[in-house]
Amino acid sequence: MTWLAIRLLRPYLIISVLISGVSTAFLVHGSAVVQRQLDARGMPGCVNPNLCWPTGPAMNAILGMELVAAFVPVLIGLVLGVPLFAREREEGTVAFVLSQSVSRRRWVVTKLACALVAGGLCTAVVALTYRLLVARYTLLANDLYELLELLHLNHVGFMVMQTVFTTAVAGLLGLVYGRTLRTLVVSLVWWPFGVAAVYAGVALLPVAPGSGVAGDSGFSPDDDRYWTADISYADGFGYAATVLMIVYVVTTVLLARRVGRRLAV
Amino acid sequence: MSDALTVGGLVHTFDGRRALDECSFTVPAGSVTALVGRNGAGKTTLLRAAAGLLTPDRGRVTVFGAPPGAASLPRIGYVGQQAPLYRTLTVAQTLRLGARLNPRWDTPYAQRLADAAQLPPAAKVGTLAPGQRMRLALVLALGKRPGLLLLDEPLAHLDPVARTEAAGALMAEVAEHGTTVVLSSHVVADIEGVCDRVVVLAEGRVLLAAEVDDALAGHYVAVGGPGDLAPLDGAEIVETRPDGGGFTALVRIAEPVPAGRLSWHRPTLEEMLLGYLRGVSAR
Repeated sequence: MTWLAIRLLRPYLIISVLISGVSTAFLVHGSAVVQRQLDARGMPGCVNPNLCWPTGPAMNAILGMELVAAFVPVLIGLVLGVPLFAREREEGTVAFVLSQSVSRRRWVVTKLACALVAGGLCTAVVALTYRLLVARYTLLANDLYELLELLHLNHVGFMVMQTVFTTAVAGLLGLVYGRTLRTLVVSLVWWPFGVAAVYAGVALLPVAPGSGVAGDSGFSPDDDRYWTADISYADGFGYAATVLMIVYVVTTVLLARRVGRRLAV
Repeated sequence: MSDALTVGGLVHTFDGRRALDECSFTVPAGSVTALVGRNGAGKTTLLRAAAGLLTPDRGRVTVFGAPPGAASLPRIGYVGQQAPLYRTLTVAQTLRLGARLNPRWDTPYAQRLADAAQLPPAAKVGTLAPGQRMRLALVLALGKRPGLLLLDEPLAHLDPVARTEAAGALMAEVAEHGTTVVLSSHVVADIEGVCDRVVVLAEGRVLLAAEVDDALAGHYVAVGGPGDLAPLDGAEIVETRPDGGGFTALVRIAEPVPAGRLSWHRPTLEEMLLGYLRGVSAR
């Protein structure tokens, strides 16, 4: 079953790998653009926006990198999750696979597991590149892109789990609707609600996650560490959200298993 | 003889319309049963319920005594209409997939069937003609070595030669392994000489479920002129239709009633089945 799941996932996996690769390349290129501007100004290690506010191509590159970090995780999730079951139901091949000697539970769980792992890995490359290479450059224009930053939090776990969560939900919706286009539309409509559910869930946690707020870091604005503390500003929230999304994903997979068991083909 | 398939009081509704309405019949092990009905009669729904692909609203289905499900799937071979297979896989990959997904898979047998059907191993399933695709689906269903083979209009897309070959392969399977076969069709010619039992479905209800020979022995065709219908009062008339100035009637009756100008003859299988199917439409 694993072979079949991966084989059917292959075209979407190729697209996801391409998205991941192109995004990573863009992040590396964008960082180089910003770095070139810093070099040209003779401040190669500057992280203080008051001293080296980016302009022109560098600012555009930062916006592009913010967009990549904010939307690539959900994009990869949609690419892998939407067709996962919807396509099989649409083409009728679900009747073939479910009439083989394979339990429905195994069919649902194996397909979902393959998509979740593949999506998680594709996004992990982008997320790690962003956190390790790009985040220090985006500090320079933090104030402009605060809303976009809420979608990635500079946090690898948060970004990876966004992909995994989106894949799981789109997969479940595909199982329910059995139509690719409808699954895509509903998944897109669902997405902001999913993000809201994560934020609301973390806010309702009995223990408020800690954060390294720049203003509370104990350093003066003249010290670079005052600014670089921003990179891990939302780590506490990010970890809590990651754990919460793991819970959401497990719940979604269990729900998909239940739907799969009752699915009329 | 034990029953391979038992259907009892099956009811299933789609969008407010009853696809199956209190369906009950049994299929003895080793038999070849034709499920006959017009389009929309409920044949596909019934076969899917038997294959465990849908859970009926009400009623009971058992396959070799157990409800269809994960435990009984290795004993069930199912080929759906249009033979839905993965179009991006090659024939060889599809056969390997059959081996991966079925513990009772018989590789040499499946390969023999595929060779006999002249299926090119390297060809993508999506490039195969509908007839070839159906043959591949049949190979996959037979390669499982199922005890019960459920075929939903398997011969509909085959050309006359392929139709004969596929029917031959089915019959060989039954003869060699005693596999129980239930095949649906609305083409009477497809089932003549192939099936030993027949189940007639109309509007989700079972009109007739019997061995072909017994069913034929229990029916007569009466041909008469105007006013000759009176002697048939009280007999179970399946269908009456005007014929010239008189009528032709299919009657469920053990012996003909000797009356006036009525002439009687045994129906052919086609006459009998068409009589049932037309009879429902006329109501």
